[in-house]
Amino acid sequence: MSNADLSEVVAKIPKSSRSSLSTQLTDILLNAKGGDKLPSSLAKSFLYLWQKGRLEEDEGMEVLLKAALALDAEATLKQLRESGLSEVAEAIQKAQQKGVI
Amino acid sequence: MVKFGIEFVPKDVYWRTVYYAIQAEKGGFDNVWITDHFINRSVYVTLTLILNYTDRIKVGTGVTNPFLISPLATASNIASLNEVAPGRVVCGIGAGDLTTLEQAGVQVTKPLSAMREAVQMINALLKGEGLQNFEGTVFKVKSAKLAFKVRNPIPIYIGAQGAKMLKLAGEIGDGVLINASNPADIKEAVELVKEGASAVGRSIDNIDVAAYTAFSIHENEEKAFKTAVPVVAFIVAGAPEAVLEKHHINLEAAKKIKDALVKGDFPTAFSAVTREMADAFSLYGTPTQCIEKISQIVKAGVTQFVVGSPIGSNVRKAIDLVVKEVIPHFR
Repeated sequence: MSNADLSEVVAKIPKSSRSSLSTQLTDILLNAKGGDKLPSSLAKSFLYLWQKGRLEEDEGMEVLLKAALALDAEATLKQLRESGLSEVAEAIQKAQQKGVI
Repeated sequence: MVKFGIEFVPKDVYWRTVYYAIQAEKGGFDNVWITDHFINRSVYVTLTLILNYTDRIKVGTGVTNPFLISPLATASNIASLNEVAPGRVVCGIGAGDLTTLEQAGVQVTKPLSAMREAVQMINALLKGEGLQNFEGTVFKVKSAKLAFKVRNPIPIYIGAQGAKMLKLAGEIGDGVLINASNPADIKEAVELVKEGASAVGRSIDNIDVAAYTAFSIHENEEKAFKTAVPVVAFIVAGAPEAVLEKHHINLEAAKKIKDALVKGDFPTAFSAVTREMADAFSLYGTPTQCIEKISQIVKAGVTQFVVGSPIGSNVRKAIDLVVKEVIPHFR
């Protein structure tokens, strides 16, 4: 999924959902198997934005989604649906089917 | 006011340990301690990254040891680390974990002398004095000096459990990491540190006395206990009979745990861990129960309480509980 596509997806996430969603995606990241598979650039961005308290901003949500999808796509999509963000999950799945993610 | 430290074992990828360290800093913890075992990720790589992603919290080895890592290498590592964040680095050193050292084929001899000499050597290098024809009983150095200057004092903490090591910590340490979780054990340990300090005319008030506990917190007490069980099993298996008897632990039950662990039969070992054992060798419970136990430890004269592993079944949530419900009680 290109950065432009992901920006569009993130724009669909209401501000009111971001606090709990960022925590839930973080839990996926922290507890998924194969943590060493997370690309180094994503790991560094994740830590930087966490330190600066910016995970709920657009950039933070993008990094969290990319990272969570990289480690456990199934759990990430499930979490999005459970958080009432089916539209976001569908957009990501379509991108996955097209092979752009 | 008691300080709060937290210990992480870098057995997972670096970015997870760093995430928790950032969380600890945000939550008001004062110190992060990283264990040093050759089977895990490097303590110095982990500490460097933590320093790069934090602004205030102090960091240190918790603990390195002089048998596997030369005190000269430790001095260089600690001094280099200090350049990343001057004034935020401390050095924790202990005689080492016998099981791990045995695995590595390292013979542990004269641990008290080794510790005394190691601290002397590290201090000499960090202070820029260097060593010339150092003739210890364990370490001998012809000539050693760091090729760069350390611009601030770096405190050395002694990891200690036995009476003699606790006294030595009082004698030569800037801090002591008391390896115990039970309030009665910690009270006894603090007295020994005080004794060691008094013997050389020092005051314990100038020593950071840290209780380095095996800690497990959860809103559900049973879950906190279950998370503590594996750590307690290993402590019981490695504890001398005298220590087990002191805590009224059934020696046969302890042997059963040890035998099962040796065979790799973890379910049998863990199912044999009793509440009595967990009370003796860990600090576990709900936030309210943890506050009560920590209060007893603080009353014993501890100046830093270290939340040691396992911390909780979900580390992020457990840190959150400590931050929101435990630390505020002591501030």
